[in-house]
Amino acid sequence: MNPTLRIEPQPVIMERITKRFGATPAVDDVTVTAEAGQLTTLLGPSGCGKTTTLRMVGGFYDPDEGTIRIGERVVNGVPPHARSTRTVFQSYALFPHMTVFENVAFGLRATGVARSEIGPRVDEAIALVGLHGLAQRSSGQLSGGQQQRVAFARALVTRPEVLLLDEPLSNLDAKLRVHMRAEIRKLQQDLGITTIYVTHDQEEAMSLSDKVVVMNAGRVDQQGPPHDIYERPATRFVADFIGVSNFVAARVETVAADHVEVSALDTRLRLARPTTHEVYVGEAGLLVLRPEHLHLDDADATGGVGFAGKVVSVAYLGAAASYQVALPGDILLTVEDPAPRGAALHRPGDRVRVRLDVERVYVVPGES
Amino acid sequence: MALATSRAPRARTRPRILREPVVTAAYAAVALTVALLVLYPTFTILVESVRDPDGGVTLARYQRFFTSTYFLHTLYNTLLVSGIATLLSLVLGFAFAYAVTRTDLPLKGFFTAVVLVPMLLPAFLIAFALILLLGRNGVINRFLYEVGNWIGLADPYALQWVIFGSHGVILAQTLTFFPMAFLVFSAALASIDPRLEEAAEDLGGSYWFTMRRVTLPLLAPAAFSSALLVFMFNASAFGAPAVLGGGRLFFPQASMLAPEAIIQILGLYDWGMGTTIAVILVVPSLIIFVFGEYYLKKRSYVTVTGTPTAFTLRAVPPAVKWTLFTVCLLISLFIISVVLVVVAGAVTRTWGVNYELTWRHMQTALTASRASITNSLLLSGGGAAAAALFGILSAYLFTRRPFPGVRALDFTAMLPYALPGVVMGLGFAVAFGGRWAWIVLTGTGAIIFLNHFIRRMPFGVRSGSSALKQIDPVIEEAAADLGAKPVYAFRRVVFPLLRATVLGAFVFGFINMMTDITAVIFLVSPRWRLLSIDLFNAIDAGRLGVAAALSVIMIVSTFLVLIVVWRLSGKGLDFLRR
Repeated sequence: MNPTLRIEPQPVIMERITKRFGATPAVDDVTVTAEAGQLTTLLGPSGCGKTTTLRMVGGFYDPDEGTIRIGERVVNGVPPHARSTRTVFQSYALFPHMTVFENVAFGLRATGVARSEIGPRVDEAIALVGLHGLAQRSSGQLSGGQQQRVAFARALVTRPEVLLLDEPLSNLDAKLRVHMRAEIRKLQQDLGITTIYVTHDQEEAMSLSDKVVVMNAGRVDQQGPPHDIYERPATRFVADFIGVSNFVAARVETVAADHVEVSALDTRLRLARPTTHEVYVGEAGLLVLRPEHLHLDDADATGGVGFAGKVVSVAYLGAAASYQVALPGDILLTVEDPAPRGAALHRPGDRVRVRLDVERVYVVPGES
Repeated sequence: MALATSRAPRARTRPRILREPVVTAAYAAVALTVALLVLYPTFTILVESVRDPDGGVTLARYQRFFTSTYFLHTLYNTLLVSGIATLLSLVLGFAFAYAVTRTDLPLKGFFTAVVLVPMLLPAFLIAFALILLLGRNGVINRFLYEVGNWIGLADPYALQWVIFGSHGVILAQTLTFFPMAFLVFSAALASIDPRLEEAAEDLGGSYWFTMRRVTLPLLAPAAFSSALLVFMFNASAFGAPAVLGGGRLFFPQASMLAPEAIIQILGLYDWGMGTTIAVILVVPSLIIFVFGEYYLKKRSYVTVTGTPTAFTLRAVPPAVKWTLFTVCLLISLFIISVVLVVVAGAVTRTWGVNYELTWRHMQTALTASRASITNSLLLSGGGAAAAALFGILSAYLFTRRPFPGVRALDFTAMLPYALPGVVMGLGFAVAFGGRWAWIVLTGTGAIIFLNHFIRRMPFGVRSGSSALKQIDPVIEEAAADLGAKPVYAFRRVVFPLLRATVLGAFVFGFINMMTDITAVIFLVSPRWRLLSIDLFNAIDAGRLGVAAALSVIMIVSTFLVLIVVWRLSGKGLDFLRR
C-alpha cells in the first residue's frame, strides 16, 4: 500500500455523551470506543441517534454532557476545521462549482499545504479511488458512484486520523452498493485508518465491521463483533433489527453456570446460558428462533426437539423457500428451507413438525 | 438515570457564535447599520410629526389631517387609485403568468421578455410615455383630432381620450407594477405540480371546474401576497400621480399621499405636516409588510426548497388561449411603444407639433445633465454593489449563523423594503440635517449613497436567503470538515455559489437607484444633482423633448449595465427571476 496516505491510527473514545435537541435527548448517555485502525459501525433505524453521534465526533455538534477523545486529546468544543476527522457525507456534498481536482485539493489548500505538494497528493488520492483521467471533470458531470469516490478521495487526501462515513452507500443502486462495500473495506484495511461508519442497513454493517454498535432511541443496546450481535443479541430490539427472528414466550426454570433451562411451548429446553445479560429463575424471556435454525419435517417424524404445526403459506425464492407455520396458541413461525426442491415443497394446509437446533437458540429478556 | 456523581466530567461549551469573532463583528456591523440608517431616520420622522413648535408633544397635525376634507380626499384618492390599479395588476399578472407557464401560445419567449421591461424603467417613465401617446398633443390624440376634423364633427376634440386623471394614473401604475404580480404568479404556477390539475381533470372536472376548485385555490396565497405587495407600492407611488394626476383625480381638489407629502415639504416648507403624512403613509405599508412576511409565508402551498417541477403544458380551450394571446400581445405592444415613443420624442423637434428630426434635445441633455449622469452612475453603481454584498452577507449571517435575536434584526433590515420612498428620503433629510444634526450629511453625495444602499439592501437579504436555501448546509460542513476556517469557507465555497445572486441583486439595486425619485428628491442639492430628478423636473416643466432625451440616456445606461452583468454571470438573465 502506498505509504504516504498512512498515518498512525488513533482510537475515538466517547464517554457517556448526551446530546439534546430541546428536551428530548437524541443521544442519551452513550459510551463507545472505536478502536484504532478498526471499522466501527453505528447501526440502527432512523432517529436512533447514530448520525448525531457521528456529527459529534466530526465536531458539528458539541455533546451536552460527556467527553469525546481522539487518542489522548479531548476534542469537545474543537470546531470541525480544527479536528483531524474527515467526513464522507451521505449526499457527498461535493462543491458544485469546482472540478474533481479542486474538490480533492480543497482540504489541502484550506489548511495551507505547500503548493508544490498539492498536485502529487491529489493525483495520488484520485488514483487511489480509481478515478484516473477524471480530474478535470466538473463534479456535476459524475455518476453517483464517481461522486462518492471523489468524496472519499477528498476526505483521505488530508490524511485524517479518523474517517467518518455517514451512510455513504445509501444513494447508490443495490449492485453498486455491494461492490462499493467491498472496496471501502479494502481501502480502510489497507490504510489502517480508524473509521466510524453509520448505516441503517444491517447487512452492510455485518459485512463491513470489526465492531457493530446497535443503537435504539438514543442509547446503545449492544456493541461487539458482528457474529456476537447476530448469535447472542442482548435485547429483543437487537434480535429483531438484525436478521429475521421468531420470538416465542418462555420462562426461566433453572440457571446453572453454563446453561439455563426454560419452558416454552409446553416443553422444557436446555439452552446455553446468555452471556450478554443476567437471567433469573422465574423470569419471563423470549426465545430467539432464527428461520435457518428451524427445519420442517413430516408430521410423523421424531428425533430432536420439535413441535407439531400447520403450513399457512409458502414463498419460493429460488435459493431458499420461506414458510409460515402456525403452532398451537396463535404462534406463527417463519421457517427457512435452504435447499428447496420444487416437487418436495410443503403446501399450505400440510401438517408438519418444526424441529429446533436447540444449541443455537438464544434467550433475551422480555415478554411477547 | 445514573447518579450524578458517576457522570463523566460535564463538558459544557460556550455558544459557537461567541467562539467566532468574525461572526460577532459582522453581526455588530449589521446591527449598527440597521440602527443608524433604518431605525434612527424613522424615529426622527415620528418625533417631528408630533413636535410642538413651543416644545412638547402635540397631535394637532394628525387631528388636522383627519378633520380636513382636503387631506381626507388625498387619502381616498390614494386608496381608490391603488385599489383599482392593484386589481388590474393582479388580473394582468395572472394572465401573463398563466399564458407563459401553462399554455403553448406562440411568442411566449417574447412575452416573457417584454413583461420584464417595465421593471427596468423608472416608474414615472410610463406615465411620461402616456403623455407622449395620449396627452393633448400626444400622437394618438392628434390623430383622433384629425379624424374628428375630417369626418366633420362639431367638436373635433370629441374623439380624444386624454390621459390626465385617475384613469391615467391607474393605467400607468398598472403597467408599472403588474410585472411584480407576474413574477409571483409565474413562480407559484411553476411550483404547483401540474399533475394536481391533471388529477382533477382525470376525476371528471372540466377546465373551468379545475381552474376554480384546484388551480386558483392553490394560487390563493400567491395572489394574496402579490396583491399586498402591489398595493403597497401603488399606495406610496409618486411619479404617475405627480405627472398625470394633478387636479383631475376622483376627488379633484386633492392629490395623493406621497405627492402631497412632497408638496408640503418642498412647496410649503411645512415639515411638521409633511412628516405627519409620511407617518400616515407608513402605517398601512407596515401592516401589509408584517402580515405578508410573517403570516402569509407560513400558509404558502408553494414549496420554496423543492426543485421546481418541470412544468408540462395543459390543454387549454381555444377561446381561453386566444383571449390570453390577444391580451398579452396588446400589452406587450403597448410596452414596446412606450420605449419607442420615448426614443422618438428624444429626436423630435416639438412633440405633437413639429416632427422634424433633431439632435438638439440629446445635446441639451448631455451637456446640461452631464454631472447628474455621472453622479447617478457612480452613486447607483456604488450603492448597488454595497447593497448586494452587505445584504447577502447579512442573509448568510441570519440563515447560517443565527442567534436568538436574529428575527428582530432580520425584520429591521427588511423594513426599508416596506417603508415608502418618501418616508426614507424625508427620514434621511431630517435625521442627517437641520435640527437633528449630530451627523450633518445634507447636501453631500454620501447621504444619497447611504439612502440608495439601505433602501435596496433588503433585496440583497431576500435574494441571498432564498439562494442560501438552495445550497445544502452540508456543503459548508464539508468545507469545515476539510479544515477550512469560517472565512475561508465563505470566500471559497459559499460566495462563489452565490455569484449569480450577487449579480442579480446588484442589477436590481442599480436599476432601482437610477430610476428612484421619491426618496432622493429630498436629498439632492445643487452640488449633487441626479439624472432621475433632472428628468422629473424636465417633465414637470413640460420640456418633453429634453425629458425624452434624458429617458433615453437612462434606458441605455441601465441596459448597458445589464449586458455587462449578463456577460459576467455567464448564466443568462435567470438571476432576474429570483
